[in-house]
Amino acid sequence: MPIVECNNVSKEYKVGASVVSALKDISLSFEKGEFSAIVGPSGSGKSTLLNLIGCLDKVTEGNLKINGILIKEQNKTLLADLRCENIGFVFQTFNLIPVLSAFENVNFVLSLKKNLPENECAEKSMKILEEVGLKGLENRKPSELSGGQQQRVAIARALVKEPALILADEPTANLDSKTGEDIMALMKDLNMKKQTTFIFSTHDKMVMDYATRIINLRDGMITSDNGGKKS
Amino acid sequence: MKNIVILAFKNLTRHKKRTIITSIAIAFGIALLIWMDGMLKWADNESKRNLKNYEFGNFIVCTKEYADDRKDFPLDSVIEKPEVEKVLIIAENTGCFSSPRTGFRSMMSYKRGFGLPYVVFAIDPELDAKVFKIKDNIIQGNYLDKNSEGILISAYCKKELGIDIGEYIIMETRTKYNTMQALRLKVTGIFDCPNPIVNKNQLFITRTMAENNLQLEGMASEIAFRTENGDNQPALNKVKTLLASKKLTLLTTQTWQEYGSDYLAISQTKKGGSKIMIFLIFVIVAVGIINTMTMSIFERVREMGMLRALGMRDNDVIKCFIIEAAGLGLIGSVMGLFLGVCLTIYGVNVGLDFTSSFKDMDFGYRTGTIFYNEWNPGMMLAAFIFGILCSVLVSILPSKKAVKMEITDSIRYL
Repeated sequence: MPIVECNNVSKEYKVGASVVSALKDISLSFEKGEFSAIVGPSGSGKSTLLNLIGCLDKVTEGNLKINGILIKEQNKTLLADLRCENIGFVFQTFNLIPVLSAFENVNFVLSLKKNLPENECAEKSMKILEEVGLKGLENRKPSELSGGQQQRVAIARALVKEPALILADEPTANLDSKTGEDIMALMKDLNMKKQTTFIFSTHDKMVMDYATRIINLRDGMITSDNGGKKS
Repeated sequence: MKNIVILAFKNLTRHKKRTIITSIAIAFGIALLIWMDGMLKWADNESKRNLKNYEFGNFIVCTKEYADDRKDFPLDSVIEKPEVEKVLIIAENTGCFSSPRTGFRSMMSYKRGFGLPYVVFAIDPELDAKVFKIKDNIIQGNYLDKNSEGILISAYCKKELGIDIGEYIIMETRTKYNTMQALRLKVTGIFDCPNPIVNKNQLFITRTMAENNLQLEGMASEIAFRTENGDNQPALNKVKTLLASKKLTLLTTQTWQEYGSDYLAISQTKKGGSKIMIFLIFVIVAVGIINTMTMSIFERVREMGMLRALGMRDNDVIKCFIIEAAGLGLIGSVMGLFLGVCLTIYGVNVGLDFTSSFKDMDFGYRTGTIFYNEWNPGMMLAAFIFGILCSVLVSILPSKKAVKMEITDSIRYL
């Protein structure tokens, strides 16, 4: 069963009196362990597609299933629980909580998962921080970390719940090229080790080079999808 | 839940100055509430004590006409000597202290030649000291004794007339039979009691002196009663029964509450007024909290969007903000309670001197111009809890508003 299944998905927004069609009749699916990039110019619908896959928004038409669950039938609370159990996010601007340390940022998100004992949460949080190369920095606040280190915390935060799917919206856009490459290498490594599905939106050629599958979007439509086969 | 509480409390440290300023606003409101309540409580109780201790006793026995017209102190509706004696026996039988008093209006003058109106009470010094506490407030000279031919004046009268101890004062008044009488009386004692009505209006001579010079012939305009435990009702009921059984049907009783009904009504109105003031203080506090919480919420929209995207339920986001507001209220309430207790300690021991503001003003309370505080642990606890509850209540609306925003808009929010 695919992790993500989009069938004839369309998304429209109302802007004033007019209706803007952000995605038109998209059909695609992502399997477990894929490392995919959604690319395309600004306004092509990359972020909209990620938002729909991340259950942050609802489709106007068509069906979207995450882990076999039909999204449009879920209410707000169920969607929150579904995101909590199945989806991790990495944002362009990291969005860490400034008053919490690296460890607390990770541990807080893990504690949102129900029925996890406190010591298990702490153990998992420390382990994932170690995996992303932040051993010894776990007590530092985000302001005491570099951009790359902050993005590593964000990745650890997304991974700690062991979700089936991680969505990253331009994860390297705020990083220099060296750090960006390190981050991509880390995500690729984690993808290989944990078989977590990663989907990025990006403009960055380097990110595309890491991706095994590249989906091109233009004007809300898929113009190409290599299906995981690189030339 | 534990992590939500930790996050909420850590969020209070984001903008320390803002947290401190808002907490100070809450603390100020709480402290002011505790202090004002303690002062009003003291003023209220002190007024009641002073009314009973210096002005009226627990209740009086007098004629019905006198009860209707007491403010004029009429000498033509008094209790005659045989009835006075019977009432004194009744008092003895009911275990009350009693003091026959005859009040009359007089014009008092000194060297300067002008006169000032006062109410003079003819008292039996020994009996009166058991009912009233004037004797405990002598600041110069001596209290009256049974055969004293002098007059006991107040410190206020001393100042107004410019008279001093040992000097002579002229008292012009009318006898029972309405003939003018002028007496030259030596000031033998000066009192300064905490009841401004007594201080400003009343002077005292002995009943012997009044009987000899004003033809009062053993009569009394009222007989003041003081019960041992301070509770009127049982003694009052007994006295009423005994008055009826002794066929003293022309006599009636009046309690301090009936006499002070005007004051008690004013006191109730003042309580209402202070409630409005308390409400206004809390409006100011509430506006401060709403402002702080709204600022906190709107500067964290992106963060909330991220947490909601990562699976935090909207209710948990609201809880987090409410706990944060409760924390703000808790800090403010603890500070306010501490400040309120400090102000109360100062108020209980030193008090606030309003002499220059209230010098000759009648502001309704029968207290001196130094206002003290009384402890009111109930109000302190209520103010403490109310500070926290108020913070929680006013944070609910902005928190709910915050989670109404779509997650996608929250994440993009600048």
